[in-house]
Amino acid sequence: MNYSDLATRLSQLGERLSKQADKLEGENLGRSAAKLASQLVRFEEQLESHLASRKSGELLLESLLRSPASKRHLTIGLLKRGVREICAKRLKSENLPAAKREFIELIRATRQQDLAVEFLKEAFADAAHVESGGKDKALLQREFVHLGQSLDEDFAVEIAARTIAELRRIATVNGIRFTDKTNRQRLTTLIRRYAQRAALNVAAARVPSRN
Amino acid sequence: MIYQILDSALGTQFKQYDYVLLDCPPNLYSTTKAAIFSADSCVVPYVPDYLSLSGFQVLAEQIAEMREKFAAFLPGRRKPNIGALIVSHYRQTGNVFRLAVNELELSMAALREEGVLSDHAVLLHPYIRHCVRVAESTSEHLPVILYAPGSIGAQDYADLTQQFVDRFEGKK
Amino acid sequence: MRPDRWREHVARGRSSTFQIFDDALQGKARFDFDEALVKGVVTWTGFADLPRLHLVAGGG
Repeated sequence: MNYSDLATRLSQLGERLSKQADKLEGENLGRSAAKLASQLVRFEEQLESHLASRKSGELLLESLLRSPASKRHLTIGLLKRGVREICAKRLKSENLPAAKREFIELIRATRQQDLAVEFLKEAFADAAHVESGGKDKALLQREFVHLGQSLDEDFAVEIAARTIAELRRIATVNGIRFTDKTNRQRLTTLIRRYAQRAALNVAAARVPSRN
Repeated sequence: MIYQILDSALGTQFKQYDYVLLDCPPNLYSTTKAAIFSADSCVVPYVPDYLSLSGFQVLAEQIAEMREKFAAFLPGRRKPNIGALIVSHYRQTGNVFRLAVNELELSMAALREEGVLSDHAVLLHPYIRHCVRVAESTSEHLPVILYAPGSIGAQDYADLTQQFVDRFEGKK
Repeated sequence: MRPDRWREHVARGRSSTFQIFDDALQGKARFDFDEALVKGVVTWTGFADLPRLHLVAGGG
């Protein structure tokens, strides 16, 4: 059943009940009607509350504060900044659950739900944004493939010309893990092995183009 | 042309939506090609292993061929292209997954150099981490954001969606 | 959509993208978009959430 079906059902039930209202009797039927009436009151209250909070923007605000993005990106600092920028007030709570409640209350009191929603959406979007790594990363990746394609002697010459810091940078950018204890020789071995593999894998499955 | 079937049947309906996602099986049979024909862009999922890597390389070449083949039937419209890639089932432990994603990026660079992949094709972040809740959500027949909204899978998908919107609405 | 309802919905290739291709191959016009469309995701309450997510099934 969906909400449309429910509306139809209630409408049909309402019509039937209306036609029969003066003729209905019996304790079982009365008890059933009483239960339904009580459930209807509860549902009506929830529906009104849902519609009102949707209209005021509060529903969206609460959804946002419960969202997966909020779980990852929401901080007390962000809430404090929001309250300062939106309501020109100070958030006092120092733990996140209390800060969220206080945030909602302050926003509600100043009726700035729409602004609060925009503020949070933008903050979450900025937090989710990841820089691409830029030209340096692309260059180091090309170098990695080149090292993988090189013959052993050429590889040895190229590696000898690089400092340990440069080797670490090549390794880091290309996904090779190492620790502070990883020495130059070990690092070189890792770079050689994975660079050769990468060079092979990137070329291996290519379908020749039908030009 | 057979690949116009989906476009003919659903083309007018597409206009009422902000986004239409055509979820395709992992093959290049006619139904998938029909979806590629209809689409403004393709988004390719990548599981960090060699099988996915070689599959991606084949797909990129095939889509480049389709671009030529379909051009005459799509005047004034975007031709088949890969717009973005998504990494899923990612684990942060060890070297394996980082290296596999690096190989994907190297492959993308090589394909761009050859003109097979557009410069606009990007690898979206974050990578969707391996998460039991995501697997469970399929058994529950619910999206993970409803089934387990607090899970790392739901968080990753929420952030990925933001990146997706930014990418395809031209922001950032 | 719940699995039991989904199976009914797409039974005999109806109300899905399968039907679009089948229609094209057989020269028929049985596919009805409004009938095929499922609005929202049915949760365990039995009522739909995410009402702005519309789905057309891929087929049986």
